[in-house]
Amino acid sequence: MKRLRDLPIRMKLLALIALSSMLSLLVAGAVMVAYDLVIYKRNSIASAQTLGEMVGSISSAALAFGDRKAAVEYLGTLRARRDIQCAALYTANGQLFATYQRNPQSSCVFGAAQAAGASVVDDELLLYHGITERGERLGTVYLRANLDRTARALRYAAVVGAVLVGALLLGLFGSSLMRRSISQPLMEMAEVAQAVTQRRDYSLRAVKRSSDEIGQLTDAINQMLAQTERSAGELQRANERLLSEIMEHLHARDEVSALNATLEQRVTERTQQLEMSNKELQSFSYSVSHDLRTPLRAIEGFSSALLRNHASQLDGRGQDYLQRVRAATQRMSLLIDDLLSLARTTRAEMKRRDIDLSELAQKSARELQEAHPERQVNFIIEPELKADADPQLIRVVLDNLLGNAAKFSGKKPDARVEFGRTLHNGADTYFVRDNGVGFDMNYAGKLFGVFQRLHSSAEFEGTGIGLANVHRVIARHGGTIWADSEPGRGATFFFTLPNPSSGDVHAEDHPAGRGQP
Amino acid sequence: MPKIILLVEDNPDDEELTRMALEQSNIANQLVVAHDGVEALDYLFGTGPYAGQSAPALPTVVLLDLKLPRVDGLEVLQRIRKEERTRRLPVVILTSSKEEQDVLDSYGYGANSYIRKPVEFDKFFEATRQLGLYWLVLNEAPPPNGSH
Repeated sequence: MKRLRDLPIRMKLLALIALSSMLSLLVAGAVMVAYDLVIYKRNSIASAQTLGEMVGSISSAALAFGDRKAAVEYLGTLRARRDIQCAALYTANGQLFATYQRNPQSSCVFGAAQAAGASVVDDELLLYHGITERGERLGTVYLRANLDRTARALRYAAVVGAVLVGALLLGLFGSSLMRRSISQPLMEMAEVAQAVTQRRDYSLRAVKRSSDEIGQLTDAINQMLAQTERSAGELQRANERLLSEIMEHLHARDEVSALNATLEQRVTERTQQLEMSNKELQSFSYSVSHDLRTPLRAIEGFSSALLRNHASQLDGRGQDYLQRVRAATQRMSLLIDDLLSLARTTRAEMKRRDIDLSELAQKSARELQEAHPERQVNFIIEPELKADADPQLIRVVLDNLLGNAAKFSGKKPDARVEFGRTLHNGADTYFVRDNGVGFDMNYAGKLFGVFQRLHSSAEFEGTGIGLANVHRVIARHGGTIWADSEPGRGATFFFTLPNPSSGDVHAEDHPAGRGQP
Repeated sequence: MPKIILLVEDNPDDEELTRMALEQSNIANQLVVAHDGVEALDYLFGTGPYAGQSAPALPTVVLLDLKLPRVDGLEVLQRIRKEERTRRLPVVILTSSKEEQDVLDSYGYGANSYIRKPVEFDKFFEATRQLGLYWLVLNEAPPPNGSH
């Protein structure tokens, strides 16, 4: 069985109303019945006495005259009263004079006359009433009336029951009214709450039907819903913003990756192109290395053979021409070597490591002295100079700078070539200084260009490629190179080799400065 | 038995210069010239025009150019080193280039020496002279039927 608290409010209210009204009706009914029974008894007694007096009054003559027939007749008029079951007249000395019995079931017992008075015994009223006339007692009237209080009480009970049923019906009616004014709004609110929960539709509102507590509750719920709707709306907007931001982000990411893919493809293509042209360059250098040298060797070799084995058949001029042919082929050979070296410094992979510049410079100087024993050059090399660089490429730099210095100072009796380190604008700067012929700074801009020469071949041999090569190597190390000179007072070449890990290198092929910075 | 020099050289000028240098250095050995890789291999392995005859005597030294028509010098070198008969044959690379890769490959495939032909004839002459002297006179060649 459902517990009371789980019953719908409507039923609770109905039960409450029914219980209270039934209780009050029952109490009221009981009190009324009790009171009525008391009054009824009193009234019955009074009515019986009046009746007794009346009977006595009309029967006094019959008593006085001993006229039994008339007395019975008079008593017979009591038939009009249904409650009177038995009646009797006694003479003054207490002799039974006449009797009346309403019906045989009345089972009247007529005993001796008793003193006047009324008594109630077993729901029956017994009345003895003295008949007097002018102070003379003529006899006694006896009446026995059926009070029938049980029936009366039952009638009352029926009335109370009917009232109870009526009250109950009224209660049901009231409950249905209440249902409309209490349960209905509550149910509606419950439905709204459920709908909101299920559909997340915060725009739903409960209908307000009254201004009572339920109305206030409806208002409160609606306010809460409005608040929630606002919050949900804000949340929704925030979500949408976030979503659109995420979408934008994803879109941007896609674009970036698409761009990256394109970029990667382009890089791959360019790399392939570069690799191709690198390969072409490589096979070109290879061909140059092999094929250009072979005819040179033939020209040189046979000119030489002519001079060696057939000199007698040539005059002095012819021999001079052949010497010129030989010299030209040797210059050509040098040119090819230098060009190949330039190509190599451009394409060779850089392998930087800690190297001892002083040691490399020493080696280079030693080789120069061996190659040109005719020069009297004093090499002064500062010891312990270290750098982070590619040793093979740096050899190209040192060979060229030291070679140039020796070449341009070699004709002096006290030729001196110096290699060392100094500070320039706070940066470690290496230098190669000579006390040779120097050059005019007006032409410093041409120093590092390919095939650019500041001296004639007759004065000093050279191809005009060496410094271009040096410049390229320094540039590939992220450094700069410049020179300072004055004709007749020697020249100084400065260069830097920034440490790649210290971050002061911009790019591998950062252009090295030309002339003085 | 005269010592044979096998010169593998496609350029007639270089061939003549080498011949001249050897003659003037008084190295009077028999000079066999192969003009490309195929000829060189035919001579060494008794194939092609040399087939059918008893295999020609192995040279004392092979002077091998790298840039050759048909089969190039490096491949000739590889074949020489692969065959049991020629495995220990002294091979001197005599070429125009001194490209690092060529030098590395030559030694990698088992060349005994690498000489860059100088352009200057005096130097070329000197190089050829020293070369002949070293490989034909000073150097003790591996025994022709030597086992491992």
